[in-house]
Amino acid sequence: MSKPATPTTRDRRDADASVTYGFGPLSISEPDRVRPGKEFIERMRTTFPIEREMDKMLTRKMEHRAAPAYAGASLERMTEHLTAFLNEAVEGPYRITDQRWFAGGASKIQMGYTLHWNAPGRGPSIDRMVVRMEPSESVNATSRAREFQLLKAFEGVVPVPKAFWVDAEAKWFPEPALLYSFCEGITKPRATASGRLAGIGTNFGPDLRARLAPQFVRHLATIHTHDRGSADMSAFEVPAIGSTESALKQLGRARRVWEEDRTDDLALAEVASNWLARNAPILDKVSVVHGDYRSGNFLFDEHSLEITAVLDWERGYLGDRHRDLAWTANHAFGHVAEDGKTFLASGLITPDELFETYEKLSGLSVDPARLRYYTILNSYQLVVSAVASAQRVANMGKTHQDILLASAVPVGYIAAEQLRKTLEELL
Amino acid sequence: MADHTAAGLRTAIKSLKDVVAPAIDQANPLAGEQLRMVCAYLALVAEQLPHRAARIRFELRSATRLADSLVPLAVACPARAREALDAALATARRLQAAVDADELEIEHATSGLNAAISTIVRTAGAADDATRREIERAVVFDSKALLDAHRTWYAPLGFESKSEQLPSLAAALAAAR
Repeated sequence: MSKPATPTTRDRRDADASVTYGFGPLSISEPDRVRPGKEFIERMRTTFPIEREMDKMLTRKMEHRAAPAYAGASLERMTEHLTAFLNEAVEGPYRITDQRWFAGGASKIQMGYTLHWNAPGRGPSIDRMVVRMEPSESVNATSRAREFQLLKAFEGVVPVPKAFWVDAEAKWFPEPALLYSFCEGITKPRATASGRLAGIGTNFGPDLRARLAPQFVRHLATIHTHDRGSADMSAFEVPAIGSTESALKQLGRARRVWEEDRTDDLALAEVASNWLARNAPILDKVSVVHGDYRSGNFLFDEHSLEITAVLDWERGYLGDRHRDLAWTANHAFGHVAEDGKTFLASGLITPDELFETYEKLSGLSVDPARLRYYTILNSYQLVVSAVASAQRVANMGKTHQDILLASAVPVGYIAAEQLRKTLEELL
Repeated sequence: MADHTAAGLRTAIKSLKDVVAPAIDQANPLAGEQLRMVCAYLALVAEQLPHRAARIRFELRSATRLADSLVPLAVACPARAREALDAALATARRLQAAVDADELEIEHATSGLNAAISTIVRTAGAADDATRREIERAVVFDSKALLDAHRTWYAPLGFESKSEQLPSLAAALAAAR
């Protein structure tokens, strides 16, 4: 009887690979992504452990993926859903008027309307409102429950729309929806041609940015230092301080989306993913992270020049403040000043001034190593969103903004080049 | 007969701007915004259409060059990953040599090769640190030409803050020769 061969190092590697790397391009085919079965969805869930609420959203996205594509916007249909919802939510008679679509957002369907109703505590009222709903598949599969809870938590703390109701489980609307007050204000100067796509690269001009930048930084410092107290944050998980859990779960979410959504492979994204997994930083303090804090996601009054609302909390989570700081300063969202060389984070302030002012206002430190990590994670996230998700969702015709998503793909390649340059220095 | 597709696209843009745009309800900003984006995208297609064949060939060449540089390093990766790379590379080389290769076939070959390369990068963790680092550095170095080409291709959409620093499309697509 022959003795079994002793496994070689390579044999062991191959055996390990079938477990560790079995989820990769070796075993995922395009049909898996286009028509994901239960087995595939479960494989993604177990391979990439992420926060419960985010898991719920991504799982829902994949369960709905093979459903028919977006049927087209109809104010009448949306009003029917809204009426069904308000019949349950509002006591007494009410009227809906002035329904209209909002432009600008890349990921959610937004309908404005006026509600004539008997508001609790206020009596007969006329309120301008917004209903914000997922399309049949969003470029960001995010949680309306989280967005609702964050708006509630920050009411009276920083300027935010007043959140009234949420249909988190899509009981009345075809997709999860959030209902909040309309806020007056604009996202960019009316005269500028910049920032046409979701406010990216908005040029506010020297005078306006001098007024807006201090408010912009102050609100961010307030968000990061806010005591959550008794606010209902049941849709969130609190990551462990002193561990890498928070960074790895955020990375896990981006990796899972890359697996589920991409139409093409990009080796650079794999290098970034490897580096991020090897270098996850330890969390020193849990903050509310806005998740998309930049130009285009706040409103200001063009006369008083005051910020009137911080919007788009859909990517919010509890974690490391450096994620927001790095996002705000990301190359993709800023532009070079009039001198042709000074970079302005979100078109408002130099990164150095941003971090210095933030430290003074928040009392929190800005750690260059963590900032670098999250700069890389954010660029990776942008590649995932723009190159993988936007292309996938547009190809399937799943939203009201398919042309915007198709047009956003180059944002991912610009982010990929930033990623490449940074990794070149680190490897 | 000459191909007038690009000229046809330009007439479509003119029609959208001159006739359709004024008829859009001003109370529907989403429609106005999307019309502007549609016109911009059609203009991009009209401008780049003559370069499409060159781009498809460039992407195959670019992936082949990167794969070639990874072959000696991939010995440290799992067998399945190495075999996938070898097979995809053989197909890519065959198509590179075939001057009349079908564009769809080239695109499939490029896609397959990129998937095999990604697998090598993923499985590089199984290699020793020095090899893993070499694999990752090769990818980072080689990605510049590919990203330059993608960015130059889409530059007319207006997202590049310093588009003048990008190479011309002809130069970008001539890289990796």
